[in-house]
Amino acid sequence: MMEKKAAVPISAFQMSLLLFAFMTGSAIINIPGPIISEAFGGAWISLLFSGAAGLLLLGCLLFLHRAEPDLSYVECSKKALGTAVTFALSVMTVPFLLHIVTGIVIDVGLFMNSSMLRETPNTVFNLAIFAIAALTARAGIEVMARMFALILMLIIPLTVIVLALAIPNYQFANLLPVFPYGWRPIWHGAYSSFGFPFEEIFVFGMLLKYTRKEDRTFLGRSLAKGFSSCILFLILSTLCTLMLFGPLAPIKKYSLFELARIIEAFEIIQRIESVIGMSLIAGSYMKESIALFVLAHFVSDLFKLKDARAIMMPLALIGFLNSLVSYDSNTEWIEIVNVMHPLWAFGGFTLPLLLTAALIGIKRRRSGARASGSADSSG
Amino acid sequence: MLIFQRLVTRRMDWREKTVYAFLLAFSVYEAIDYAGNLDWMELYEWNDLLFAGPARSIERFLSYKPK
Repeated sequence: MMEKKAAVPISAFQMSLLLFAFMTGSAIINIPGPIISEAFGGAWISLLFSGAAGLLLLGCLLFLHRAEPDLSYVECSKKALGTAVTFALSVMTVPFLLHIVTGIVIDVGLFMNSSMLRETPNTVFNLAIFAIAALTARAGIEVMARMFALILMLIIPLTVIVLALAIPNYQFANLLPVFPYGWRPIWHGAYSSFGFPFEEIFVFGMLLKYTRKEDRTFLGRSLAKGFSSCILFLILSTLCTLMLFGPLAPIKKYSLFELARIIEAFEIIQRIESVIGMSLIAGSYMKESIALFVLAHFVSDLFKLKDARAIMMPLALIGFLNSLVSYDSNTEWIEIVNVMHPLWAFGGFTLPLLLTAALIGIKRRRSGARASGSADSSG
Repeated sequence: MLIFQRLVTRRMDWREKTVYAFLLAFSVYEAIDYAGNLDWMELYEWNDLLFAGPARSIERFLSYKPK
């Protein structure tokens, strides 16, 4: 008989590692090309702006967590807005979570098809990633936190080494001009990169309650460090892409992969693009597991289910089938990600989060004022 | 295996049954759509109805086409 397993809390450091894994997972390779095509030389400024906005969202999440440390975002929302409003807002949030779960896997499939294994059908990659991610998510947050720390220890140094090996090819002059067409492209880049990946920090609203009680005091600092590292890492990879490819950077879709391809160091280290390919797959797997875990817990909290693990596999199956029927061509998928995704993320994640945080803030202020009023009258 | 575990070895309450049944029904809907290449309404078609207009307007407003 299946018993409901009690969730084992994780440390603040592990939570920040999960955050780093989730935010950088697939973004490290998917972000530089598109953002340079939108913001040109000012892509790094766009990332700074969108990162700052993402930090504000993180602040909202931490505020909710401090107000209700044992509740997830959905439970907080039900408490602040009521069940009916929470259900109404979730009409946009749940599909967007499903889109994230699907999108991560589609991106890996498209990358593999366009760069490494051209003849293999997408279905093979999609099925494999969904199966492994669903099993990982089903194993629980503690297993993910422990395992992802090891994977991060492997992929971060490897990515940094790849960037460092390309140093002889960098041209610092390619960083200029920063504002070739004024501020509008910068805002465009900021808008897109806020939608992906920074707005997605919302998912941690479902995870923060799994932090160990004794670590809650410095959770905010740990998460801010993890988030800032993610911003810096993305800026670093964007700058490296710009320095290497210059005006050609916008047409390189998987720019880090292309960067690794041209490395020739000490005459024996060359064609190391598979390292970046491996990083993308590992990063996407981590992100997929976290997203699937959050989707299952979101639905579970919404409908007050006893055990979120029960719906993990059906949700993975839906995600897999969705990855097969969701788009007809690469152009359609690029439009979904570049045009629809930022606005959808705002409606599905940012708006409900801001509403919940604002209402909880107002309620707390009112209850604080009432408590001080009654203390004054009794004194 | 999982369905067997859920339905036979552990009693599910009505909420779990409803959500589980809905998810399975949605999977079947998607599977039929894929197998028959029927082009039914899916996640992105619904999203297109809701967001396409405003999302494309924002994109047009922010995009700069070098002359």
